[in-house]
Amino acid sequence: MPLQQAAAKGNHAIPSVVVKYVHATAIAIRMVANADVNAVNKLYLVEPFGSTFFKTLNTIKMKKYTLYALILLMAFSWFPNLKASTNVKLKFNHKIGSVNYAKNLQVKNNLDHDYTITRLEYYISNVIIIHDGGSMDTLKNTYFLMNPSGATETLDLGLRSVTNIEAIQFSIGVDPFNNHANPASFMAGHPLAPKSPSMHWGWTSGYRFLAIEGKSGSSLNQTYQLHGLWDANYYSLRIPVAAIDDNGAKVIELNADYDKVLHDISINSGVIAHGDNTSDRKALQNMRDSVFTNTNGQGDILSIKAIDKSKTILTYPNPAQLNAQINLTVNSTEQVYYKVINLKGAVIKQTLLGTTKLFIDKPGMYTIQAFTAANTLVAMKRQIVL
Amino acid sequence: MNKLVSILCIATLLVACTRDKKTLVTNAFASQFAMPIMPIPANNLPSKDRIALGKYLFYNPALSKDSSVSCSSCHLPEHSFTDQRKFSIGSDKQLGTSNSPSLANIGFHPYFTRAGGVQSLEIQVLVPIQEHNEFNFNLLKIESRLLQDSYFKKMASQAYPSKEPYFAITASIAAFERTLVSNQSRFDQYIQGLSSLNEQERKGLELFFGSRTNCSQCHGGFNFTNYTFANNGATQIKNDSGRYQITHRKEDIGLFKVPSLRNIALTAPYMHDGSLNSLRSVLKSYNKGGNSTHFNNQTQIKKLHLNENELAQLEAFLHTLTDMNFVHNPKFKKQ
Ligand code: HEC
Ligand code: HEC
Repeated sequence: MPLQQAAAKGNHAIPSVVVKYVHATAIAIRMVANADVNAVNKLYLVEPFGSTFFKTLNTIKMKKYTLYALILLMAFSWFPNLKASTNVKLKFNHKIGSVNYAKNLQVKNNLDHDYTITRLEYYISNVIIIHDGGSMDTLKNTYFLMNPSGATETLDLGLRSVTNIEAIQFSIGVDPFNNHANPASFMAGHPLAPKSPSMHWGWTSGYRFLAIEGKSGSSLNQTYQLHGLWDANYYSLRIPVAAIDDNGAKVIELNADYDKVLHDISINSGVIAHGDNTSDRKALQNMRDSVFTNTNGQGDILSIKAIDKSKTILTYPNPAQLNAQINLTVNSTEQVYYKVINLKGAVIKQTLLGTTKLFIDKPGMYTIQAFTAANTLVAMKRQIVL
Repeated sequence: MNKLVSILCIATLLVACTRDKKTLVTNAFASQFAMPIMPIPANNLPSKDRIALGKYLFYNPALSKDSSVSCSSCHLPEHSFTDQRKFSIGSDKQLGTSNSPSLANIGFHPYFTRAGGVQSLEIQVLVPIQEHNEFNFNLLKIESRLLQDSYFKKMASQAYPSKEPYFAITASIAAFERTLVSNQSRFDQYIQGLSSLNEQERKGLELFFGSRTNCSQCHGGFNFTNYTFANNGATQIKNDSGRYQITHRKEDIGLFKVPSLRNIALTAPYMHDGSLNSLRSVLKSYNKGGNSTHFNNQTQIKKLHLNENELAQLEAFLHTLTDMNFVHNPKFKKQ
C-alpha cells in the first residue's frame, strides 16, 4: 500500500507536511517502507505532539536539517515496532483429568470426593515469553479473564519480536498494582472492568484471582465455592515449551487440568471459602503447582515459588508520618533488602541489603517488598504515609 | 514528643484562658485543627453535575437488589450519616455485622472501612453494592437498571462524558461524599475565636487534650482521628476481627480504624459492633481501662481515675463537636 494511502486510512487527518517531509528523507522512507502497514499507520497516527505541532512547524519554517534530524529521531524512536515480528498464540487444552473440560461433568477429586464445576473463572496476567537464549518479552498491561467453556481455547499474544520460544511464564490473578485499582475505571469489555458475577471483592478492594464453584457430595447436594485472592497469593509459574509453527504464527500449547484445582481439598460436605483462608488459598497454590503443564506433562520450573506465607514484614509505625523513620523487620533468617513501590507501580526507593529502616518523603499508600540477596521476593506489606 | 506538644498546647491554652476569656486559644493549638487538603483523584474532580448525580444515587434504592435500601438507609444526614442501629439492615432485610460509621469529613480519610482494606471512596462504593447484607447486588446490574432512568442517563453522560455509566455511578457518589465537610461545630468556632465554651466544656477540653486521658493521642487533629488502627478495649474481640482480616497478622487482631469524633453526640451506638449505647458508657469504659482485656489492647488504654464530675466534663466537651449546620445542610439532604 502506498504510504499516503496507508496514512489516509486512519481516522485522523494527516497534515500533508508530514508526508512531504517523510518523502524528503531517504532513510526514513526506506525504514518505513520495509515495515508492515501497521507500523506505518502507527508512525503517522500516534502523533505525539498533535497535528498543531506540525502546522506550527510549517509556519515557522524551521531550518531544513533540524527538521530532518527530528524526523530521523521520530523514526528511530519507533524502531522496535519496525522489526520483523511474529504472531504468538497461547493454546490451552482444558481438561478434567483425562477428559475434555465441560461444565457440570460429575467427577471425583484425588480424595475420592464427587463434584461438578458450575463456575470456573480466573485471571492470567504478567505473561512473559522466554525466548532466544533467555530473553524475556513481557506483555505489559495484558490481562486475560479465563472462563473455560470448551475443550480448547487460544489466546492471541499479539505480534512479538521472538524467533525461538523456550518457555512461557504467567501469573494467576492480578498484580498488586492493578489488584487495587478501581474496576469501574476500566472500559467495558476489559478483563478488569466490572463483571457479573463479580470478579471484584469489595471489602478487600481486590479481584478474585480464581473463582471455582459447583456441587459436591455423593448425591451432589452440597455446594462448594472457592474464591482465592490477595496480593500475597499472586504467584508466577514458568513452563518450558516448544512453539509449533502454524501458518506463520507460533503456537504455544499447554494442558490445563482443572481436576487438580481441587486436589487435597475436602469438598464432600461443601465448603465456602472466600479470601485467603485455607482451601481457597490451597486452590490457588494448586493452580500454580499442578494445573498447567506442557504437552509432555512438565509443569512449573520456577524455583521461586509463592511468597512464603510464613514470612512477613513488620513495619512500624504504620501509618507513618511524612519523613518519619519506618522500622522494618522480616522474620527470615536470610538478609533482605526492600523496595518501596507507589500506587502507580513505580519503585520509588530501594534500600541496601540488611537495612532495617527507611524514610518516605511523599504521603501515600505504598507496597514495601522484601527481597533476598538473590532477588527472591519473600514478603510484601502495605505502608501508609500520612 | 506528641505528649510534650499537647502538654505545651494545653499549658499555653490555660495561660491564654486565664488572661482573657475572649482570646481563648493560641495559634499553635488552633493550627492542629486547620482543615487539611482533600486528596481528589484527577479523573474525578468535582463539578455541579457530578455532585448532583452522586447525591441522587446516594438516596436511590435502585442500587440494592430488592430496591429497598439506599446508602442513606444506613447513612442518614441527621445523624451525621449514621443510622442509630447497632447493626444496619440491608437488602432482603439481612442484618449487617458492624455498626454504620459517620461520613462527616469522609473525603479526608486516607483509607476506608474499619479494617482498612479500601483505598479510595470510588472503590468503597463497590463494598455495599456487593456485600450480602448491604445491597447484595452487582454494579453491572445496577447500571442496566439505572439506564432505564432518563434522569440518570442524562446526568451520567453530562457529568462523565465518554465514560462508562458504571464509572459514573462509583465516581459521582464519591464526588458527593467529598462535599460532606463538617467544620462548623462550636469547637471550631471556639478555636477561631468566634464563640466561647462554658467552664465545664473547657475543663473537658483540657482533659481530652491532656496526658491524664491520652484521648488526643489517637483522636487528635482536624478530624479527631490519627487514622491508625487500635484496640481500645471497649468490646469483646473476636479472633479474626478488625485489621487482622486484611493482614492476617496476630498483632492486628481486634485493631480497628480510630474513628473521627466529629458529631459524636449524634452517632450512637458506638464502636465497631455498636455495643455501647451512650457517650457516658464509652467514657466509663475508657475510665476503667477498657471493658475487656485482650493481648492487643493499646498501652494508652489504662485506668484513668476520673470522677463523675470529670466524666461529665469530657462528655460536655464531646458535645461541642456537634455541627448543626452540617446535619441540617440542605445540600446534603434528599430533595
Ligand atoms: C446496610 C447498611 C449500609 C448501606 C446500605 C451502606 N453502608 Fe456504608 N457502611 C456501612 C457499614 C456497616 C460500614 C462499616 C464497614 C466496615 O468498616 O467494615 C460502612 C462504611 C462505609 C464507608 C467507610 C467509612 C470509613 O470510615 O471508613 C463509606 C465511605 C460508606 N460506608 C459509604 C457508603 C455509600 C456511598 C453507600 C451507598 C453506595 C453505603 N455506604 C451504603 C453500612 C452501610
Ligand atoms: C489507643 C488509641 C485510642 C485512645 C487513646 C482513645 N481512643 Fe477512642 N477509640 C479508639 C478506637 C480504635 C475506637 C474504635 C473502636 C471500635 O470501633 O470498636 C475508638 C472509639 C471511640 C469512640 C466511639 C466512636 C464511634 O463512632 O463509635 C469514642 C466516643 C471515643 N473513642 C472517645 C475517646 C475518648 C474520650 C478517649 C480518651 C478518654 C479515647 N477515645 C481514647 C482509639 C482510641
